[in-house]
Amino acid sequence: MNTLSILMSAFVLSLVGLGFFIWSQRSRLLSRSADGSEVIFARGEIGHPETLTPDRSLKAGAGTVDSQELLDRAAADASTAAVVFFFYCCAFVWLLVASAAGLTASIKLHAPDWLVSEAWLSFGRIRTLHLNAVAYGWAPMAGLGTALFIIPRLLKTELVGGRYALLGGALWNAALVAGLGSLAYGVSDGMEWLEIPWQIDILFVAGGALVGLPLILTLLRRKVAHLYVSVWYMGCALFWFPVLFFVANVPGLHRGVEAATMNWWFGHNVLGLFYTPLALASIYYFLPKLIGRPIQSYNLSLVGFWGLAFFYGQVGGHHLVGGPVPAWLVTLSIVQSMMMILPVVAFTVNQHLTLKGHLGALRHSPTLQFICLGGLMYTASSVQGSFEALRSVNVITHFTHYTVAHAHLGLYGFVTMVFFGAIYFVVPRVTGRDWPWPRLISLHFWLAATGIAIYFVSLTIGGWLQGSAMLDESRGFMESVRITLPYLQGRSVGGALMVLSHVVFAAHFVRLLIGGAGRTDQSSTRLSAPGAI
Amino acid sequence: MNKPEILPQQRRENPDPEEGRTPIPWLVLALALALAAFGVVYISRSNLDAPAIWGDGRSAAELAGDKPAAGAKVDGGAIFTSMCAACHQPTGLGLPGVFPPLAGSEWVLGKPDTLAAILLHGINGSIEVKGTAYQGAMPAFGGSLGDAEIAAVLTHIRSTWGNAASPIDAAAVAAARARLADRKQPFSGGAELAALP
Amino acid sequence: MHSETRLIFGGLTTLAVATAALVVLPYLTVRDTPPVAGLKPYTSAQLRGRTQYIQHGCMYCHSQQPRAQAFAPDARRAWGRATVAGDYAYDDPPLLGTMRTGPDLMNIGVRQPSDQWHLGHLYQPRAYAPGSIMPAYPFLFEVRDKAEAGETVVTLPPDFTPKGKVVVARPEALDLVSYLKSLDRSYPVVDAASVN
Repeated sequence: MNTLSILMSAFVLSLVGLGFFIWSQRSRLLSRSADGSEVIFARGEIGHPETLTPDRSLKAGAGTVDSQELLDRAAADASTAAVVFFFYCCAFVWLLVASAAGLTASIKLHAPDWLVSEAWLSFGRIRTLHLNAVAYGWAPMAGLGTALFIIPRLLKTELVGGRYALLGGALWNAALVAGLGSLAYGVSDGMEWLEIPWQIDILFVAGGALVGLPLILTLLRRKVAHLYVSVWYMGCALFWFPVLFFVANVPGLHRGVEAATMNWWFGHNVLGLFYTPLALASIYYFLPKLIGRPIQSYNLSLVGFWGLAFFYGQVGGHHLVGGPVPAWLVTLSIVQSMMMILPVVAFTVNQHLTLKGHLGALRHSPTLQFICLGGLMYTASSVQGSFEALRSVNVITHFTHYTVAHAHLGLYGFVTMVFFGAIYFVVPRVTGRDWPWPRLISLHFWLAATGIAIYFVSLTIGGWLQGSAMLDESRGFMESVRITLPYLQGRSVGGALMVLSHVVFAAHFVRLLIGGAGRTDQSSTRLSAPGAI
Repeated sequence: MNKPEILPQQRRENPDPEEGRTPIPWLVLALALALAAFGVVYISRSNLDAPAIWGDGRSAAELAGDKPAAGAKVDGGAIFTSMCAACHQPTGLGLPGVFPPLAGSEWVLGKPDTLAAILLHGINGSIEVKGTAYQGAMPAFGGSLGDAEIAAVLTHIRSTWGNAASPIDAAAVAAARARLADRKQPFSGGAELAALP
Repeated sequence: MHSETRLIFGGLTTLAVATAALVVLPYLTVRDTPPVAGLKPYTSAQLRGRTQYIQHGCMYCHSQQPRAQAFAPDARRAWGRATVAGDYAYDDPPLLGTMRTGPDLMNIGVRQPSDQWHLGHLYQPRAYAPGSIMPAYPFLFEVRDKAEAGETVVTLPPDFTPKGKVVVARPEALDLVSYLKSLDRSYPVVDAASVN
């Protein structure tokens, strides 16, 4: 089989598969009938935007009979509260650990003689600790915690075997402690995103299975017929991640440049087929929930989901443009990277249609602010990533800080922001306590948003200049280093703001936990003015 | 089923979300077709003739090695920048106490044969340069550089930073290489080099 | 969507296509590419050094993959010819890298064969390359009053030498330098005569 036919068949297969799945599940795909705006299932009560302010008018109606929907929701929450709370507590710890390590690594790049006496503090290790604490600590703990909360709600079914999920979470965290310990000590498998020794990976597999199985069982015992779009993403992510992680970590299976292609198949799919679907599912849940309006287009949801499923998995080769790997593989990944524009646009249009005319809700709901910013950054980072894959752009940006900026736009601007929003929504429902100081939420939001903005702009400019300098062989290599210095310092400033925002976030969480009055509506949480957030 | 306790936070939120049936906008469909067309064109125009094991975009010519063709002009300055400047520094002044200077060095400006011998076989021992003794640890470049390249870089260092000595041609380096063909070790220092004919 | 079976089956199908393209086909076609004639296996010291390279995360700032001449001027920066699959036959795992915060190292052994330079540069990069942002690795060395017989003393510029002391390279540093010096992909991949 020649290479062109391999390439064309992979591409055409993806297109045909995409068409097939969308067609087979469509619902009035393209034509608007008289009832075109109706929802697929009966609408419930008229919604209200979620605010931190307890709504007195609703309370007045509390004496009436509770709807079945509300009873199901409360039952689902009761079954998940303990396990979600545990996952979120771990997420907070890893967020602080990871961001402290990240800031240390960032400062070291412009202060290379700072903290050099200990091997575990050297750049190569502290950077790796940062990446792994985010990749296997913060992101999955927050993401899986949110999935554990959302899925039983959407299936109107109590979580089956929550205690196994709790045990799985404990195992997972034990594995991560062991993994980070061995990385700090200098034991590493040597491939990016896959540094943790494979012996410890066995614990991750066991822990992950114990977390995933209850969710799968809940899916099988569900009480609703229709699966809401969030369930598609989360359900598939729960199958995708184990396959990725297992295939990537089998010792002795991968060798030579094949190990490199596998490395980036894994590296990009952890982002694309694990964190991204978990975060997109959260947006699909919280956005309509908070503004009290259905997601406008089931059909666009289909395009967004199956497009991501078919295209995202094949983009990993764009990390190896110009590398010693088969040219057809790189070309395929570039094309599929560009194809990703389709699901991203479908998602964006869908959210836009849903949010249209309801932007006012943003003023009242801190959750919605995080979610909306996250959604925007999904669009921005994805479209940026598509074009970054093109050879003409990649030749400049590859090997530079530009890619680091892009990675953080995705994993922080998008994924982390969405999880922040999710946590602000979920914690009061699993603890029965409201956030005591709404102004701190606002502070968290602006510190984090400003921080990532400074971070992204600095490194994007610095990386572009670095790449341009490296492409001009008449300029010495050192010039590509010198030229980045002010931007690396700028990144540390942005990073410091982000760390500060996490400290505010965590302190607020601790205050919520140890605060006196629980399970009450405190009138003190009322925002002084709608514009305060 | 027992009636679960309902928290005020649960009571005040909207019902769980649903989906509307708004059709796919035609613009999104047009985008899909445009992207698919882009994909087909990009793939069919990509250059996939080279063997897969060569990697992305390699040509046979560059994989045949980077030894310059006979008669081609060799850039001594470029060789100096890539292979010598890390120790002797772009200024040619070396690093005090560690790597000797080339600017004004009696060895650089001295006998071409001796200078070629230093590059070909390296030094491992004490050598005095401009009145300062260095613990020489000069690597041998006879294996990695051809005669024309060594000649070019020697000519470069003899005519830069105020140095003004005669150029050295490839034939002279070839002759030095032939004369020292039996040598397996680096020179033991300045004394041995000074004793060369 | 009503069927969880179709959902999960569809999801696994998409991943199977991706895995076939990015993992299985490379497994079948390039995984067992034989070494290029001219590539030497690593010695045990070089392999120990390679472990040091991984332990200290050198690959997060240094790539090992010069790109093609038609694409980028890597060769004109003296980083060497573009590499091919057979250049990595002994590399487990391959350390291609994704950043060039520092220069490409695939041929550092060709352009910088001096032990003393490497040792001193690891001890304090800024002693040799002003403006470098590479971390110093003082924990790979010992600062002592005097060296024992057989130990490698690092010669540093006067400003960087601890007063009245000598800097001795630990075995880890010597192994790492031995690995760095082994990085040499300057041999040809194809016969020059066959090109024309």
